[in-house]
Amino acid sequence: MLLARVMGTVVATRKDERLLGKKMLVCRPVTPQGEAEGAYFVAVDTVGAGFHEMVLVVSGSSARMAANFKESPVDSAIVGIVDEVELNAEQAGGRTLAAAAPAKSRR
Amino acid sequence: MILAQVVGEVVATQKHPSHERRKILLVQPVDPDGSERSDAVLALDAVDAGIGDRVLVVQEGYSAMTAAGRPGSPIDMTIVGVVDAVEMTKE
Amino acid sequence: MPNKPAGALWQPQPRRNRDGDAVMMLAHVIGNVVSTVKDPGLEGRKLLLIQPLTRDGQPRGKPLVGIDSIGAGFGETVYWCRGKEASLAFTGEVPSDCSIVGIVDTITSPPAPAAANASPKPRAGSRRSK
Repeated sequence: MLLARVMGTVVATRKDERLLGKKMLVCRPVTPQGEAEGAYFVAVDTVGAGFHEMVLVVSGSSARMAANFKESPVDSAIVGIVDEVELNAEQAGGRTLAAAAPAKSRR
Repeated sequence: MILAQVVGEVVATQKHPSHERRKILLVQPVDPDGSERSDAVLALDAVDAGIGDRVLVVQEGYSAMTAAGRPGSPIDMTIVGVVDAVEMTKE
Repeated sequence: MPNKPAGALWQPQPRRNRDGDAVMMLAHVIGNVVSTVKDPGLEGRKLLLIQPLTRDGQPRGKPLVGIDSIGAGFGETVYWCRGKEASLAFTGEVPSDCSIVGIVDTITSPPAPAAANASPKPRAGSRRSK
């Protein structure tokens, strides 16, 4: 899976019927330190992610295993909102890096 | 999925039967701001897109086949939506 | 079906990940990711940050997040499985495209082909002229 940041949203009224009602977010991969790096892609949201949040994205065939996407034509799905990334001592002196806004209760 | 711009249409009379009765469009992957990203590729159309439309393309095999309505076919890219708008935040 | 110059022979490309780097199977565990709000299939799973490696142990490509299936920890060298098969490391519906499936004890690797083709060095005591 990739770490990515939510940078925008896609509005598409004309689309495959199995994508109706699904939120599609524009994401950009980020380094563990949170810097944007790499090409934009569009992923379907399953966890209620918001703009600028750091998220976990699963790609490929496994994306259809997320939420209720079994028969949906998706190849990228957001499966988690990252609270923090902890790097080991060699990478960041053992510090914890904050991912984005603190986790909020969503349910 | 990726964002792409439809830049052409391909006509091929001799092709795999699973590609029959579907438009084959030439799509140029783009960033949200419209700038070109990599080589143009071909995708089957499942939403009646046209030249000039900005579209959503799925790149995984099973999803592409499912969207095109052709299970078990040699299809690896299908257009699954026509984009009305992309709303971006500041980086 | 990418573009290619007219007349060019189509060469199969090595499998590459989204950012264009060749995907390797060895990796170093460099951290972990904490996520409270996530897909139910990921509940109770350890999410490790891994850095893919070359055969010489050098970092190659971008770090990935993998789901741990064998109890790997910080600093360990592991190997991982990608794609749909990654979700087969677990029972139940686990949406994974990168699963850590083994901890590496040792790697035995023959020398790279260029070294194997080099002229043999003279043995000690031989009368080979300099």
